[in-house]
Amino acid sequence: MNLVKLSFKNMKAKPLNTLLSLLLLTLSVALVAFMMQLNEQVKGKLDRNIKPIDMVVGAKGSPMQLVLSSVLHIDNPTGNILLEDALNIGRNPLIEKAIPVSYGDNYQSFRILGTEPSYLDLYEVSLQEGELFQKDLEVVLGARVAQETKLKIGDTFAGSHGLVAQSLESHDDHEFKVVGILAPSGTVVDQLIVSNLASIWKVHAHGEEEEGHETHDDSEELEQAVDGHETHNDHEAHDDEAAHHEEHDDAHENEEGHEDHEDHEGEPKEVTSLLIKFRNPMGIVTLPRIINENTTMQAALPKYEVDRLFGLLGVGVQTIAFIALAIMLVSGLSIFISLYKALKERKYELALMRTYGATARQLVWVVLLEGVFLGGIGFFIGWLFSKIGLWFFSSYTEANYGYSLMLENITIGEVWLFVASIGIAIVATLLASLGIFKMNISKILAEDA
Amino acid sequence: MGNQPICHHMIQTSQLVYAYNDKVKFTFPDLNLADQEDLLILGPSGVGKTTFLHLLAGLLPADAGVIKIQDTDLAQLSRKRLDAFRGKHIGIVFQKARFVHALTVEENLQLKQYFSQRKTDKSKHLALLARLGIEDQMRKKTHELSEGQKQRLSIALALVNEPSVIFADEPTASLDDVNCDSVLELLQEEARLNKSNLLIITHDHRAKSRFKNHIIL
Repeated sequence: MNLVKLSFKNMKAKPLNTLLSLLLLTLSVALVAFMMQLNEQVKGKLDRNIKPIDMVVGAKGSPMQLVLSSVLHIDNPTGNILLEDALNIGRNPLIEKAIPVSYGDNYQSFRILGTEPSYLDLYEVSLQEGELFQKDLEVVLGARVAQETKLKIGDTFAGSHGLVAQSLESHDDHEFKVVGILAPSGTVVDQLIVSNLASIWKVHAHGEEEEGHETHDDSEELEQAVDGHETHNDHEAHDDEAAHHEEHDDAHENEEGHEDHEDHEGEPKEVTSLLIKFRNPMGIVTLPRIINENTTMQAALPKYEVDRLFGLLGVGVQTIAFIALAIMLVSGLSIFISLYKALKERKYELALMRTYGATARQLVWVVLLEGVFLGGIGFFIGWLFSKIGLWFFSSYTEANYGYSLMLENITIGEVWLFVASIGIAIVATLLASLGIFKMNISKILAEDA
Repeated sequence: MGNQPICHHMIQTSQLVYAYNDKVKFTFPDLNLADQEDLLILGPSGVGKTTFLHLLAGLLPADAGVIKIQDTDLAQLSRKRLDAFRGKHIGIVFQKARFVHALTVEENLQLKQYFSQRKTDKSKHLALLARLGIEDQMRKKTHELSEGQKQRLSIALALVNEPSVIFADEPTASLDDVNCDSVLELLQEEARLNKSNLLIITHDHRAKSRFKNHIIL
C-alpha cells in the first residue's frame, strides 16, 4: 500500500464523479488540441508551399483565387495570360526567377502542370528515380501521385480534361509518358504531374482553335511600363475564362527550348500564370502595383493572400478555442466539486488516517495525486481523440483537395496544453484539499455516533 | 486507579486539564499504569470520557498537565513526531468502526502499516484476522461486513502494529450482551498477547465485571 495506490483506489471508488471529470477534461483537450494542430498543420503546409514564390502574375480576377490555383493548386485558375507578356515581366531586373506555369488537365484528380524544370528547383525537389522531362509529353510524377496512381517509369497515360477526375473528355490522342518520379518533399509538388509547357499546349492544340482569341500586342508597352513606370491603360482584355486554353505559336519560341511542338500559325502562346521570385525585396513594393495598374494581368502576393485567408479563418478558430477553454474550466470545477464533496463526506476517513500516523501533507498528496491522474489521463485521451480527429480530417482533405495533413511530432502548443490540463487539475485538487490542514481530528472523531 | 508500583510505567498523567471554552472545562484524575496493566474508565455521557481518551492518544493537546506514554512526554513532540509516535505505539478502537471505504479489509490493514512506517506482513494479518474470526473477509470491501465484523476489524486495525497501548472508546456500545462480552474478551486476550496496556472508556457497566481496575469519571 502507498499513496499512489490509495489515491487510485479512491478514484475507482467513485466512478461516476471520476468519469464526469475525465469526460469534460477529455472533451476540452481534444477540442483545443485538434484546433491547434489543424491550424498549425494547415498554416505550416501552406507556408511551405508559398514560401519559394513571392508573387504570381495571372489573368485578372480574385487575387486569392490566383494564389490558391497557381501556387497551392486547389482552386480553378482565373484565366490565361500571354506567354509573351509573362516573359516581358520576367525580364525586370528586380526579379530573380520567373517561371511560367500552365495547366488544365488532370490524371485521376492529380493536376498536370506544364512548366520549366526550374519550378522543381523552387521547391528543392529532387528526382527519386528516372530522369527529368526532356521532350514533349514526358512527365515526372510527384511522390504521392506515384504512390496513388501506381504509375511507373515508362508507363503512359492520357490526361482528362479539366481539373477534376470526373471529366468526361479525355485526351486519348496525346498520351503522357512517365520518365521520372520525384522524391517526397512535403510540398504541393508531391501531388503534381509535371511536364514542360509545350506538352500542355500540344494536348490542347486540337479542337480548340475555334474558340476565339484576341491578339495581344502590348508586350512592348508592358516592358516599358514595368521598366519605366509609365502608365498604360489601353490594353485589350484577356477574356479566357477556361483553365485549359493553351495555344501554340512557333513565332514566339521561348528560351526554354521546347523545339518540337506543333505549329499553330498566328496563335499566341498562353500560360496560366507566372511564378516570380524577387531578387530584391523592393520588387514586392513596386511591381504588383505597376502590373495591376498598367497591364491586363494581375499580380498577387501569396503571403499576403494566405495571411488574409487565415485572418478570416482565425475568428472561427478562436471561437472554438474559447469554447474549449470554457469547458476546461468547467472540468476543473467538476474536479474541485467532486473532490471537495468526497473529502467532506469522508472527513472521518482522513481523521482516521491521521490516527494511523499519516501527516496532513501525506493526505493532501493522496488528493493531489488523484488530480494529477485525472489531468494526465484526461489530457492523454483528449490528445488521442484530437489525433484521430485530425486523421479523419486529413483523409477528407486528401480526398477533396489532395492535401494530407501529416501527424507530426509533439508541438509546443501541445506541451502547453498538457501543462494547462495538469495545472487546472492540481489547482482544483489543492483548493478542495485546503481543509485537510485545518482539520480538527479530535472533533471529527468525537462527532461520530 | 492502577497504583501497583511495577518497575516500568507505561501511562502516566498528572493534573490534566482541557477546556473547550469557559463553561466546558474538564479536569482528569491522574493515571499511573504499569506495563500490561488494564484500566476501565466508566462514566456517563458528557463527563469528558472521549476528551480524556483523545488527550491520552495525543489527538488533542492538553491545556495543562503532563501525559507520558512509555516515558515519552507527548507535549514535547512536534506535530509530525506525535503523528508518527501515535501510529507506532498507540492503537485506537473507535466507538463506531470506520475504515477507508475504497479499500478492502486487507488493504485497510496495509494502509495502517504504511502510514506508521511498518512493513506489510501478510501472514500476520491473516493470523490476526483468524484470531478475530474474520479471516475469510480479507478481500471484501469494508462496507460489506456486518456490524460485528466491523467491530472486529477495527480491533484488528488497532492491533496490527503491535502497539504498547490500546485505547478503546465505547467498544461495546452498539453490541448485545453476548457480543459485548466476546469483544471485551478479545480485546483483553489480544492485549495480553501483544503485551500491551488496555484502556477502555465506556458508559457500559457490563464491562465492569471483566476488569480488576476501574475508575469512574
